[in-house]
Amino acid sequence: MTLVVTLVEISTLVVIHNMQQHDSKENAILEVQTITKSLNNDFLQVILNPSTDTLADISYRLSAFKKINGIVLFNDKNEPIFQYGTIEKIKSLQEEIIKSSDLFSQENLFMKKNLVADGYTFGFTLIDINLSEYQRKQELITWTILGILPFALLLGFIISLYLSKSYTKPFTKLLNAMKKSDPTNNVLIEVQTSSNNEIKELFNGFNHLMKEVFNSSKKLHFQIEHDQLTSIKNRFFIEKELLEVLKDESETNYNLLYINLDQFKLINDSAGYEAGDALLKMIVSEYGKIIPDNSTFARVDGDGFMVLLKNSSRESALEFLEKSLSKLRDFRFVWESEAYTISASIGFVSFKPYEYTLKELIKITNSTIYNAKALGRNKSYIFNPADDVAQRFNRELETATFVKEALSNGPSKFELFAQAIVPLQYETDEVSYEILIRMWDKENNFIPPDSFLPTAQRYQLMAEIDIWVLWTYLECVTQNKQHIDKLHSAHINLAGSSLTNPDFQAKVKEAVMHFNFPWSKLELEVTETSAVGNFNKANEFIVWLKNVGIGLALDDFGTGMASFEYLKSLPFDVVKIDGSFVKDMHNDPIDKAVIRYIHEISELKGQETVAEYVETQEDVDVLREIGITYGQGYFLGKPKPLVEWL
Amino acid sequence: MKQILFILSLLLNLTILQASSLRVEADTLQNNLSKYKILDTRDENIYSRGHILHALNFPVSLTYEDKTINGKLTSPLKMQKIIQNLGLNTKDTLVVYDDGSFFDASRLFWTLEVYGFSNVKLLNAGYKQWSAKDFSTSTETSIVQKSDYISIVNNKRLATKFTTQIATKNPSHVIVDARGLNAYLGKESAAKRFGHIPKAISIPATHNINYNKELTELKGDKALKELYKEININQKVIIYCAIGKIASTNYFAMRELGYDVSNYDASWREWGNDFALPIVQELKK
Repeated sequence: MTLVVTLVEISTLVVIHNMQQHDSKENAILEVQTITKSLNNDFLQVILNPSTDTLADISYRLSAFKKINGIVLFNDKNEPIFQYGTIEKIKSLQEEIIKSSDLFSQENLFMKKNLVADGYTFGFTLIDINLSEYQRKQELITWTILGILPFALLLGFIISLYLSKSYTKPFTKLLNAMKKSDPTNNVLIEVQTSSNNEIKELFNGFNHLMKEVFNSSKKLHFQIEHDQLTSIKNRFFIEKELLEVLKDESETNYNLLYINLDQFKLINDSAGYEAGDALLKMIVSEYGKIIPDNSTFARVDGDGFMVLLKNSSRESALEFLEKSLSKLRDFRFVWESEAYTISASIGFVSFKPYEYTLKELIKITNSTIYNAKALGRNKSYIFNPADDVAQRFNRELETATFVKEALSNGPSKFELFAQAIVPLQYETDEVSYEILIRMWDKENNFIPPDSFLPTAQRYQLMAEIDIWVLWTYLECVTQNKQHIDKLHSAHINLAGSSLTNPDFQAKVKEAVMHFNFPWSKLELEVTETSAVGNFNKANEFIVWLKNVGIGLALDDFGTGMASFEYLKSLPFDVVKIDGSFVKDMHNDPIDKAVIRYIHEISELKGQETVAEYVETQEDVDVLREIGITYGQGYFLGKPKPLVEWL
Repeated sequence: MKQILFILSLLLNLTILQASSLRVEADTLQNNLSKYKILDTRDENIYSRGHILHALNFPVSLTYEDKTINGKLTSPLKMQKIIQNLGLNTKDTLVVYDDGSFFDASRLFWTLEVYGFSNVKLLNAGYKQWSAKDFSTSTETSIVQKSDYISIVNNKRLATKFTTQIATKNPSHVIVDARGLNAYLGKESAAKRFGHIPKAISIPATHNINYNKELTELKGDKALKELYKEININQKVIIYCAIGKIASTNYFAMRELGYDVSNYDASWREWGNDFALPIVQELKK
């Protein structure tokens, strides 16, 4: 930059100098022409009428021109007739001057000028002009330029320095601002300039960009920590906070409420998601009003909320729990002129830092809400570390996992057992049995059915289990033709829900197509309690079963609320009398009467009966006497693995 | 530096000028004959009878264009030939002399100065004294080679009507009337009008001369200084007379004193007859 400025300056000065030199030559020629033109007539007069006076006057005039060194006047015969000043140089260069008409030497300009009047040349003059005047001027200019040069250079240097500095200054400024800015953490450095050029554009662009980054990261921060629908805190945030308070060094007591809306799914299904969303917003705004200041309110799943009460005593927290329950009791909500009522169940946990891990705490809140739900609508469940229900819940979770494993590839596994069903009224070679399911966990510990089946039911795994049992049994026995021939009937238990389960129905139909089995030898047992409510919905499927020849058995009859109406209206082929009647029939005549009564009705309908829990010969004798078709129990045969039957 | 040198050389020149008078004594000339070109102003026949050794003949009559009319200088074309034929160059150092009357010698002195010669001296007391001292003489005319002299007119030595008119206005110029007092006063005139040029002061030519027996001689420096004391040495002087003959006496005297002086050779005959020009007539006042 500086170098360029210097070079430009020097070359400019050189150019000026050269122009000046050229100019001064031109000027000299021009001046001579002017002088000779003005003296033209006088010279003519000298040629025509030379007199001393004329010459004196001309000399006088010429003396005014200091630059004229000398003049020689020639007449038309090329004879010199007058001279002025010193003419030695003219004389020595005469020939050359005449030839070239203007001639520059170191200090002189020589010119030949013709004396012309009306086109006739009367003679000519040779003029010697002193250029020292011009040269002095020239030198003066040169010296002036040389004198100016250092200052010009210095000035140029300073200007270029200033310019380059002022050019880089905004960029350094920008760089600093960039280094210091941290828009994601709310540190904004704004750059400013008074200039009105690209720099300003750049600065404005930078400022704008930083502000954008700041705003969007603020928005992002908000979105990360907030629920999009209700704008309260989300699961991410509250879990982060829980993680922090669990590590809190103080002995502060914390209370956590887990609120779950009762039957929210119903509203979502019947009124639509929009209604559900509106309801959630409304609950947040209404319930939000009573949330204490020093607490966190977050939406943690579709219909679940958490309130973390910080620094609150257990008593005040329990007070708040009651308040919450009443606030969320029969919460009325109107959507498209339809009124809905909704309530919420609340789980409650008190904890201190380091008491639980986050994972444990979440697990506990899940179990409390489960327990609260189990108590009915709008109930709360307060967690007690010693609570066996909670432990059971833990076990159940575990059990559900085992079931899932057994259904797929292990390591837990199911095994089919069978217990004999023995005819009481006649002797036969044929066999009948009820298929039972047994489960072993990964360590080969036996898990009783009454332990895992309710869990499977709660986790809606029954249809899968029923499919597994049916399919596995059929696969097993269809490979043994002899056994099938010997088989009188095989009873397989079904959950009532399986009857209405489309997957189960499809699987049964597939089995009928797939296996070569005498379907009339298959009886599907459904308990009285689960049959209620499901049978009506499964009507079509039951008709199909009947057509195929598959029989239906009513299990555990007498335990439920079912009336004899069922026996009348439902299409059962076999009725299994609950063991509790059999166990007490020797002591309680009512029980015995009930057995007898059931038998009579069944007989009227053409249904066979099975008595469970047969443990003694005495039992067999009484039941045979009543007329019960089959007996089942330890006395008649313990359950044993299916493979042993084959 | 140049300027300092210039001033130094100027000072040197001045001392030289003052040391070397425009007059040359016969003794000096005799000893340095070879250094000078000597010009004899007398008529050719007188010259041929005897002249200073090597002297060339330049009869004073050749300095007049027409002596019968007035004292005007010979025209340049003629003069160029005369000078060329005498083989003279403007750089030559010349000594002019006459019979001792001083008028002719000063006339030629002036003529040569007008025509561009810068080193012209005048032999004091002329040939009369030279022959009396019995210095080298000759009757032979030296043969000279023609020079390439071109007419040059020194306007500082020759005044014209134009420059004189300027002088009447310019206060730094002085005009000297070399005629007799009567002419100056307008009692007599060689022209149609009587009087003198405006601003002119009267210093008659005769006042420069000492008439010593038959020998006429320019007065000494002292006397001359007394005569011209009214005129400042820095002033430019124009001298005129009746017809331009005798003013050369004043001219030489003032040159001798170091004045910048020019001679208006057309003189009163031109000025007095040109009715367009202003005059002063003391008597009619």
